[in-house]
Amino acid sequence: MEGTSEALTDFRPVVFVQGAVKRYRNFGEALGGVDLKVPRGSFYSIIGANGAGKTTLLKVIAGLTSLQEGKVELFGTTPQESVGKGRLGYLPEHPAFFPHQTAFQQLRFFSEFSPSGEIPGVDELLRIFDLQGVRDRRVKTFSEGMVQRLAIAQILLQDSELFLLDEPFRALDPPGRRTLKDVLVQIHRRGRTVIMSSQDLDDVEELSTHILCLREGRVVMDKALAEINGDAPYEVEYRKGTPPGERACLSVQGQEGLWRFLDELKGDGGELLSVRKSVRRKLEDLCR
Amino acid sequence: MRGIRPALGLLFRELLGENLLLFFALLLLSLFPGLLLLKAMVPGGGARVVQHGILFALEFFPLLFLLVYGAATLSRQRERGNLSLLFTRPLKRGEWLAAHWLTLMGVLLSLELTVSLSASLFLRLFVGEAWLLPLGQHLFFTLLRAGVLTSLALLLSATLSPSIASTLFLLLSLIGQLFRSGLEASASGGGVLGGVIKGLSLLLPDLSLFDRKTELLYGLPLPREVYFSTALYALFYGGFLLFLASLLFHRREL
Repeated sequence: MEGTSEALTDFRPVVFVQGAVKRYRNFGEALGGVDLKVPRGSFYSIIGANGAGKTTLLKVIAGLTSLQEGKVELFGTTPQESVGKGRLGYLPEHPAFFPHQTAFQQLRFFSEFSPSGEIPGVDELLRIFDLQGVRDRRVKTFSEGMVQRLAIAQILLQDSELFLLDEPFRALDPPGRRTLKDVLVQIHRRGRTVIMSSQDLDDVEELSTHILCLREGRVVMDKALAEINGDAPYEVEYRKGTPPGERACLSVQGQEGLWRFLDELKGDGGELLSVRKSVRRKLEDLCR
Repeated sequence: MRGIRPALGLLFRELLGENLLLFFALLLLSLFPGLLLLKAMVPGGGARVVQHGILFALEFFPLLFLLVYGAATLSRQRERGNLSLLFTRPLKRGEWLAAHWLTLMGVLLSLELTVSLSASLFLRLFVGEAWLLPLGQHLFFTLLRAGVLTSLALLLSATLSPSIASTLFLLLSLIGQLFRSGLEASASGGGVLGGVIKGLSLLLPDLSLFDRKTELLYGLPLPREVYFSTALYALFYGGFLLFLASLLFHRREL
């Protein structure tokens, strides 16, 4: 029976948010009735303009802030219960460590709370995130990018089932971004669920399976990337006129529109250079 | 409870990083010249004046320590953003609070022992008098008082901003120490104001209970009931403050 119950649990969403309303005294409504179901093993990206409610939603899911209305469940229980069982890894938007601890001491401290599992050791994580050279340096002397790398290393100290990452690429240099992308791809391949907020639409497009777009605390889109890809406009690059003129770009909506444009281009003696689907353009429009 | 042990190590290292040893050294360095000055200034004061000064320092130093290191500790961590990393780990907020209480009390015990022993040495070397204070008796009352003060500091720190928490801690400690008898006298007048003041005097900490300077200085006997009632008060009042701190800290948004 136990196996059956476990199997049933697997079908439930990892994160279930219903009618989430959060108001701040000096800010007003940060979330205005958000609904969200995150399936197991998905990679959800939350996008939206500044102040859209991305960070608040992640905090609500992590159990760091409470709701005025609505409910939130993680693995069918409260966020606090899931946190207590070590099922959650959370990276805040501005991670802060204790300033007088060294990088090693800080990770060692967090590793004390890790339930057993297949997790890399402290030194291994310091090596992966290129912090081996500053292993015994106090965190207060770290740059913002180094703190970010240490914070990412910290969440990998436990074998969490759900990772909540608030702007994980913030302050990272190109090698750091590459490392983080590789790590996220690995985590996702191992069947873990990831929810990430990001302003970088290229990263979102590269990594996500689902995208949630927030505007002023409300969901304006919640779709799988494949679905968005189907709706996305075509970016057409072409050259018109004789002799051939400058390269030009045009965004065309739908397949019929594309055929019509190509017919016109042919009639004008133009030359088609490339056609591709632009998810990014669609996301940019949604983020406005 | 498994979160307390690593938290103790981290908090102690943080205190050392915040120049705790320098703070200790400064207190000791200011104490002994101050005592010599006191001895010189009070004609015919002799050993008794110096001893009074030492007892006052032993009461005042924990207050100063908690004002600098205790009253704003949790609120500073919250403002800095430390707590969101901590409490998305299997670490309970109550454990974190308990670790703070234990760390602060551990440091206070070391501080009081250091001051007591070095003051003892000072008396012998500079005043020519053997230490006469019963140390165990003195430490009993001082540590009970420190326990209550630590709980108060953590309660304020768990709920208010750093500056407000520190200011209120100082204010409430001073009221508890100096003005309590004044409050009680005002309350005896009756009426609505008297009732309000009486209620306040019951809610505020009564630190005067732990003030046994006179008995210690003059070697007066202390009945067993005094030890018992003082310990009971410290246990219940300090425990109540800590319980309240835990309750409010749990509800605190991060």
